[in-house]
Amino acid sequence: MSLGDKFSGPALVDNDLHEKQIAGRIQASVLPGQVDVEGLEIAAGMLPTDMVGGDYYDIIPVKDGCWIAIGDVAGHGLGAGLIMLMIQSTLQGLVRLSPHAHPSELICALNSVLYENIRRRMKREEHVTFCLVRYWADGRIMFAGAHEDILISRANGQVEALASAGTWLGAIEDVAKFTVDNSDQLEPGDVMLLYTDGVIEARNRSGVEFGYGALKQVFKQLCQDGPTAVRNGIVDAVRAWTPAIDDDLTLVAIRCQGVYWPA
Amino acid sequence: MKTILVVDDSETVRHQVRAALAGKGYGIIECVDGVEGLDAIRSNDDLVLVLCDVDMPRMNGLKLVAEVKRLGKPVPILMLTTEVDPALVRRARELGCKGWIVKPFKPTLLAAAVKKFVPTDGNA
Repeated sequence: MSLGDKFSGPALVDNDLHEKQIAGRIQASVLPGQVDVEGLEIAAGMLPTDMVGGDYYDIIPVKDGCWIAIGDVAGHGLGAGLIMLMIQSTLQGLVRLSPHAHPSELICALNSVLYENIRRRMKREEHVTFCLVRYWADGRIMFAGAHEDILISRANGQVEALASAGTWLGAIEDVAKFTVDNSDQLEPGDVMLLYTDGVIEARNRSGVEFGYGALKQVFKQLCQDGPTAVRNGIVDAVRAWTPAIDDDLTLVAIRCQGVYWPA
Repeated sequence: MKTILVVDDSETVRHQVRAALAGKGYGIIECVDGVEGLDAIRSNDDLVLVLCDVDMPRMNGLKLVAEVKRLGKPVPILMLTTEVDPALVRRARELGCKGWIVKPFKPTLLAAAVKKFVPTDGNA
């Protein structure tokens, strides 16, 4: 058997319970636990529908802030979970190598790795929706990628949606011309929410999706109570809406507790 | 010992700040409003940091910051407040404040913020 055959068979991907359990444990172990980032209060979590999830998130502290990533590999199960692990490892390496890069630069490098692995070596068809945010301790954010809108609850009670313009990762060899950086500012007290489509696409018994409007409403109601309340409250609302969660569900809620302006 | 001035009209908040910074090698002086705070800054050249509320009787926090700037005192000031109005935040930055922290705060977050501006010589 060549190295290239190792992960090429769908039977192996979907049917080996033991391997799935191991992969699930590996995946859970590389998710960030308690992360301290200056000025931020963070609550995040992923609910995989399978033993191995296809969702991904990470928070990587750096000297003057952090990197925040969220993504969703098409599908779920072992194949999607393996790709999620590739994303996690690659991004960790890229951030350490280039902590001051722009998000678009790291996304393009990440895409190259994913394209090589998914399309050329594994001969598979998965792609990834992905958003990468750079946060600085003075409240600035810069983000890039193609994923669900970022929601920000402002001090005046308004919820703003920041669209990330880009394209799927792993589908084409070079995403540079589709990947642009956008910037915004978090003010003290603002709450930012990143989420995967498992939240808004959860269906009730009639097949109606939970939807973006409901998410925005629940988010707005819970912001005053902090990011843990936001994360838990949205999960509760989705669970109340749907008889069975059938897609991975990930939430990253962040409150800007303070901003700093060193000389 | 490095001395930090806490200016806040809430005794509870002053106590919370003391508790968050306890055992980290800082001395704490407390004042209850901007007038007291300004006097303390005038008379203490060894202050290493000021933690200052915004809404206080007699003299508010931003007025205090403006006065400190006018006096030319180099002590760094962090605002510690329930206020989240971006216009006030911008004003504080223009006046030379070093940061803005929203109350209620997590003790670990406050301690990390203080350490950012006042290193504790490894004894924290």
